[in-house]
Amino acid sequence: MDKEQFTPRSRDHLIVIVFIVAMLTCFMRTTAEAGMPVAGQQAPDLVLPGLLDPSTRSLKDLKGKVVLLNIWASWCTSCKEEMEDLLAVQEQYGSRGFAIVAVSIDNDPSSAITFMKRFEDRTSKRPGFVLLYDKDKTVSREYRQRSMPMSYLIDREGIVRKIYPGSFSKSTIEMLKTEISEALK
Amino acid sequence: MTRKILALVIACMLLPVWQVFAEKPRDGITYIFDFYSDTGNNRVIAPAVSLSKKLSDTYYLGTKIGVDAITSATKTAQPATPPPAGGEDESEGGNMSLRVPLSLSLTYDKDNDTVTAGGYYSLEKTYTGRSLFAAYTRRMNLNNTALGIGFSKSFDNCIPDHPLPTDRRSERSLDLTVTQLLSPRQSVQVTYSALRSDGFLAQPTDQLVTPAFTSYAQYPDTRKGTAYAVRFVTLLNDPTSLHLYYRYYRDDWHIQSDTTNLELYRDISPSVVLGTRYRYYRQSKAYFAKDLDLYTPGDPLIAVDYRMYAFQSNTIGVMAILKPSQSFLSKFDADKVKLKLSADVFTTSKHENIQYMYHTDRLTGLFTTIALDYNF
Amino acid sequence: MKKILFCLILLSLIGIAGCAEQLVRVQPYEMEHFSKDKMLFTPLESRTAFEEHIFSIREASAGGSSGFQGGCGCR
Repeated sequence: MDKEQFTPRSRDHLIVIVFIVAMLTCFMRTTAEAGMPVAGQQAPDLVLPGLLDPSTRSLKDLKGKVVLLNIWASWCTSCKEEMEDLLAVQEQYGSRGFAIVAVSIDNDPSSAITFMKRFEDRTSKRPGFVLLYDKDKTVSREYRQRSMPMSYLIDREGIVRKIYPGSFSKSTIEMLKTEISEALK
Repeated sequence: MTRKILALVIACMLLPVWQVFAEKPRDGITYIFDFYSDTGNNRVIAPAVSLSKKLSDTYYLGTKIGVDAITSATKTAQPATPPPAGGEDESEGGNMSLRVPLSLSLTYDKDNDTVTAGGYYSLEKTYTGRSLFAAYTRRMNLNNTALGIGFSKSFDNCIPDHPLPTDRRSERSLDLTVTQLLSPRQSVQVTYSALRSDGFLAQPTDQLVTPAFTSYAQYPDTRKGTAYAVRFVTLLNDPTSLHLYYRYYRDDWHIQSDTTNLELYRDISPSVVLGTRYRYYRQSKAYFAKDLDLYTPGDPLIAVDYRMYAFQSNTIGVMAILKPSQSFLSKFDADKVKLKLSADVFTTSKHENIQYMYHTDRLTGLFTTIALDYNF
Repeated sequence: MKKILFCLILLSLIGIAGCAEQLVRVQPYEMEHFSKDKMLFTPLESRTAFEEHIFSIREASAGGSSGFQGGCGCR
């Protein structure tokens, strides 16, 4: 290559163009979703120990109820922020056959336990969630978790009705309530 | 002096909640107190308040306001050769000036995209700084990869005490960043920066006094530089992380530099993280920099500032991140509060221009930061 | 020559985009370590901002960070 044609200025232009093209080409591709539970499929069963007590619970124990499976961790800020909204949803629909199963995937369960205890102290309420702990992150792999947090709405027959990547915002929490009401009919 | 500093700190503590732009959108406030002092008799006390407020699920408003109290030695004309031993040092004299910097920004953050735009303004008696900045970050591959592009342009004006070719100074910068997670314990970031400056680029107060003539410093009207940097972070073991940073810089003034920074952090307890750092910097000289006694009246470009010459510097520092226990903060959620402290000392190599300007062989300085974070 | 190089780079990038799966090296549920202060690129943001300011005054180099630069009239 002729060095005179490739001046520092044109080199800088080339770097910028390469960078912009890299950003644009990344829009063309999404990551693989093979094997991911999709709406309409049977929710994989899970058998896990409790977070605050040693008893083992299974998703099958809740068959007949509408379940929101929420995978969270105490190191995830948005997971903690949405807990109050989830508590409100549990209180609104819990008596109608709705349950929230919150599975912590912290490496150290003490962090999750500390957070939940502080949450109870702050809200002066004991969340009616089913609190489970998955040290091996089996639920994350079986449910092909693609964000933190991630929630799955499962109907009375155990079918995944809707998947919610990320935390709930004001608008998406209303959409969730609408879906729960539909599922409880 | 002490009352002024206290007044500045208290004034900033009482400022209404504004928002401050930060690298990631936050919903919180930070109280900052920065301090700098060096053996060149320069001192800066800089309290500030930084606030980032969530306006909606996708918009954040950021503001930072501070007050910089700057004390610098009055740089009077100096002969090219140092005064005889025992002679009086006529350069002493502290000038305190206040600078008020303010920045405002708006951030849009949704899904995999973050866009930020904002402006900066600072005012002091003899200098006005203004700039606009914008940045876009795209996250991909389940947040394993991030591409970022940032742009800033500044428009500064100074009020010199003597005529200058121009009182303007303008700078533009473009930053391109690629971040990639390598494993659950390692990540890397590569940055490319292109910098352009034009206007009066020398320090208006830099003056060369020789037995033959006296002249103010004169630099080229433009300067173009590029920097390439790589940053690597790895978890050595559960409580300990290692940060490595290297930057190569070069410009059309023929200045080239290498910067290496190494930091170690360790969890001492769930509430305390301690860190230490070492930084090494070396640079070459500008093409127009000469020994001070070799300048002639016919030289179109004159440098006095040691920064236009070859030198090295070493910096060591310690840091701490403290999370208070819940029992200590009865009314606040302890998860939302952090106190960050740091203290660093740097020292340059010996250089005759440092002796000429600051009457000391080398520059040694201390800078400290205290930041109290509270997330809403 | 520059056009050929540009086309080669563009084609490479399109090809690289097809390898995006290879760049997913950490699943979302494995990111616990990166949430800790000690694993952030700038654990102390205030210090980073202040020292960039200081080193831009005390040295002749700049750039190499993802932060912004604004006119400050520093001396």
